[in-house]
Amino acid sequence: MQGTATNFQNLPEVITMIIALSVASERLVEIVKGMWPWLDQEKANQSSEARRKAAVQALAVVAGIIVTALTWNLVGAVIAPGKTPFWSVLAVGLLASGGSGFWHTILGLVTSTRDLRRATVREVEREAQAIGTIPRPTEGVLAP
Amino acid sequence: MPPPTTTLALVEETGATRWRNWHENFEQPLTKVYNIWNLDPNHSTVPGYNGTTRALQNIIQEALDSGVKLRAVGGGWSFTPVAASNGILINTRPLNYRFRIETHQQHPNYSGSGPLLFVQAGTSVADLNMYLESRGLALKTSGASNGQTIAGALSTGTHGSAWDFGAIPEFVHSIHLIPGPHPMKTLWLERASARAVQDSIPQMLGAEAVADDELFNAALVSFGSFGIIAGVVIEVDSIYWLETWRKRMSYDDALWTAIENRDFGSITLPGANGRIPYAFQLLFNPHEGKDQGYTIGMYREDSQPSPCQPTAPGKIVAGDGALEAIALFTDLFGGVTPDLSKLLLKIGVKDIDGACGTHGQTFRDTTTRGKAASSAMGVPLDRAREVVDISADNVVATNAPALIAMRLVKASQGTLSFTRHAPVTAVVEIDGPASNRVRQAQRLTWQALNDRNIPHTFHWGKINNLDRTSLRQAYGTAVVDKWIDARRAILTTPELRDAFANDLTDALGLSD
Repeated sequence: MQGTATNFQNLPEVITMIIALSVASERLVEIVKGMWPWLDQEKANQSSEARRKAAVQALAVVAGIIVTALTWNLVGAVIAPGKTPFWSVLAVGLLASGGSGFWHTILGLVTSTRDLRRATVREVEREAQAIGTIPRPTEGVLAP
Repeated sequence: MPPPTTTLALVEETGATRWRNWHENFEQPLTKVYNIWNLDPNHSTVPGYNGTTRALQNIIQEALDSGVKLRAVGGGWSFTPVAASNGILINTRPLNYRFRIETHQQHPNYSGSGPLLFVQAGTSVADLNMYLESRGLALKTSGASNGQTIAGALSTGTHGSAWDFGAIPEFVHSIHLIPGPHPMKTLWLERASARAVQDSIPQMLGAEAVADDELFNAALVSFGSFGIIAGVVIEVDSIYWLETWRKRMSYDDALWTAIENRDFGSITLPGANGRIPYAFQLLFNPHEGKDQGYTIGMYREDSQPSPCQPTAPGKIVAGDGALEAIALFTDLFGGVTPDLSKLLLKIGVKDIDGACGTHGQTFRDTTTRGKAASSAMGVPLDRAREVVDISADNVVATNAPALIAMRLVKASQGTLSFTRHAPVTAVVEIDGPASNRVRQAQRLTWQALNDRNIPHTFHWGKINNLDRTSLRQAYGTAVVDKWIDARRAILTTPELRDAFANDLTDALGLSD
């Protein structure tokens, strides 16, 4: 239970790390596209364009996995401490291939939720203090 | 004779012009909020109590003079604006005097089995539990959480799952009500058929004793619209312990037959060991199917079992944050909702193997907070299975991250008590984060209940779709009119009835 709560609290840090991986893997994809122009040029033929898009996506996945594997010592400590590296690298690599724009949007949502939560916690603490100051009176007797 | 006025209370204006309920699902603009304190908050005294009563009457006069509405609010625990006002709101939480009632002060016809206490309206259930425990006593029942004030819990018909006892109104024997400004007399309401205390007590408090079953039953569940409740007489029990078991089991025909017949001895409940549960509840995730889920049984012991180990503190608080996060993600990514619902169940609910504690230790959650959408429907026991099925189907159909619970509550005598279906009301709850999908599941379920002509009522403090017409369908025109007549008898002028109305009573046609 506490572990779950901790994971939610760490979500912004995890997403920030995935954004960094996404940016790095996007750069890797751009380099490969530069070396192989077929991947970079939009095709007029519909089926050729579909194949090109699929290839770019596959390249993004491979790039994500490579970047994750190369940085696992750093990334693993934040994202998945103590997990089996192979599956963790695969999973995080797939997440990183989603693109940094997508993860930026998610990060914005998560941090706004966290800020809201923190504001609520502060308010709860203030109210708890106020309630805490209400003394518990001694018992009285119903006599004039 | 008016009450002594040598001392009055401390009344402070907070400066707030908006008020938000504890569960944060609505915000109410208003004129002002008062905090009111007993002049001596450390010692419960009759003069102190009477001073506070007079101060409350002064606030009523202020509301009448300025033509604004007025309401006393307790813990703000309700999900509905039942306790809200757009005029003056009085925070009664600091009003927590407690008085013992001696045996010779009980009415000769008092037929209860436990001792009586007189507690001021703002006493929280949590505070009350601690106080009672220190005296070797306990509440007969309460809700699952304990942040409500006693008057707030009473006024909304708060219930637990004590299937053979009932809801909080069942242990309230007298209500000290302030229906207007000084010099109008305050009222001491009791049932004529079940007197509780000698008239010397209301006389001491400057109140007029009124023994009338109709008035008392109407005032029990009146959500602040009969005036300001100053204090209540409650019947309590000797301290007892509850052994709680929560296990997964099949919701098969045998279980449902036992529920419908209230024959828990005919099945094997978790941890029962031949005992009949004091409290009983079902709780399940519809996305995992509706044929199995958690069954919760609480077994009452009059002496402390050994060993006796309460559940670890803080568990629900951890789930609170997850609820909010899940609410956000649910509306964005509906496709993964059932998985989130599983996560919700795992975070908030675990097996319990005989956790043991006093009443106060068992129902101790004061801190659960979050943007939750909680709805509770009261239905006759013989339609409970059908309503649970409908609710589960709608949660699945809408992909809502909601859990279904069903509790049993003995029928209440309160005129507008939502646990009114005799002999035992099944309370079916659809609870989840405040997301569109959860609200949609709730709406579809309410519609299905109407379509199938299933009699149903709604918890006053939880999300519902009551309006003027559906209220009368739910309770019957004669019952609603009886409640309105009682309100007119207590609030004798149109100005007073208007002052103690709010948007909700206006919408339901209960304001006059």
